[in-house]
Amino acid sequence: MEQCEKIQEMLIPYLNRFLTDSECSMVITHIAHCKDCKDEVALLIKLDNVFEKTLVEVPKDIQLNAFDKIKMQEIKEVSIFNSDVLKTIINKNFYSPMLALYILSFALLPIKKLIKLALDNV
Amino acid sequence: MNEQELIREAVKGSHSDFESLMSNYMKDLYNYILIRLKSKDDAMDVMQEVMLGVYQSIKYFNGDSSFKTWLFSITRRKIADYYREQYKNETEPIDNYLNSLSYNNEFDLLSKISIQAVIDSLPLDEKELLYLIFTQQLSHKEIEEITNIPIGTIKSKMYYIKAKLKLLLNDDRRN
Repeated sequence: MEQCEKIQEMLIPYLNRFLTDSECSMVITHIAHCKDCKDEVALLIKLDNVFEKTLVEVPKDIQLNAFDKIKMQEIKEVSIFNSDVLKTIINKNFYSPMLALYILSFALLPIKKLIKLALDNV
Repeated sequence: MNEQELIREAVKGSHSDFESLMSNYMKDLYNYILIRLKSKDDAMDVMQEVMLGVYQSIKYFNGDSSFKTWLFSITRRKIADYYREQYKNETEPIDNYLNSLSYNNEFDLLSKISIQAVIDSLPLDEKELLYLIFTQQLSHKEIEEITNIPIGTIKSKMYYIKAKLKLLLNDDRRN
């Protein structure tokens, strides 16, 4: 009886191929002469087959839309980041250097045009 | 790319590798979700939450458990979150709630006697356990990590489920 309890605990790992070779031999030797344990194996195999057959395929719309919330979250994070950058620029601490950069970028424009004109006339 | 490489690239932020990685598990996760949720719309919601949850926490996956076990833990929590949202006034710890939740399909007495019909009549927590053992081939230790049910309790539950199945199958044959 104790042996049966021990073997029956090993049956699922046995069916899932988790046992070592010596453990498998122990199970096989036991169920060869124990009707109760053999019936137990038959029940477990039936359960295994039933669960295999009941698996359903993932519907196409779920496959296509499964990652939508990730995309929405990223869009949200980018929007928050952009508004944080704007707030930082407008903030006094960064106002002057950022404004200087902004003005410089416009100041460079006429210089760029002059260089282009010069190169065109060469 | 093998799974380890996909995980590594997903942690670095590769969307395509993340999606490839998760696509391999989508069917398993979907069928797991369906044990608790019968509506396809609800299953879609939970599946999206699972994907987002995994995406946000994949950088914390440290390999202490298998990736599959880790995924199923997250999925179970997302299902619990779904129920928490549906039943906002519940104060019971969510694992207790999930482990006690059951609804029984009306056993169709006119249907052909089959082990499938008997399984369909089992409570949801028992169906979940059978799914994790037979379809996902998870060990008791892994199931303990996913469900927070101690191994001793899992073994007792399996003993009880098998005894019940044998009894129900014998009753069906007599009927």
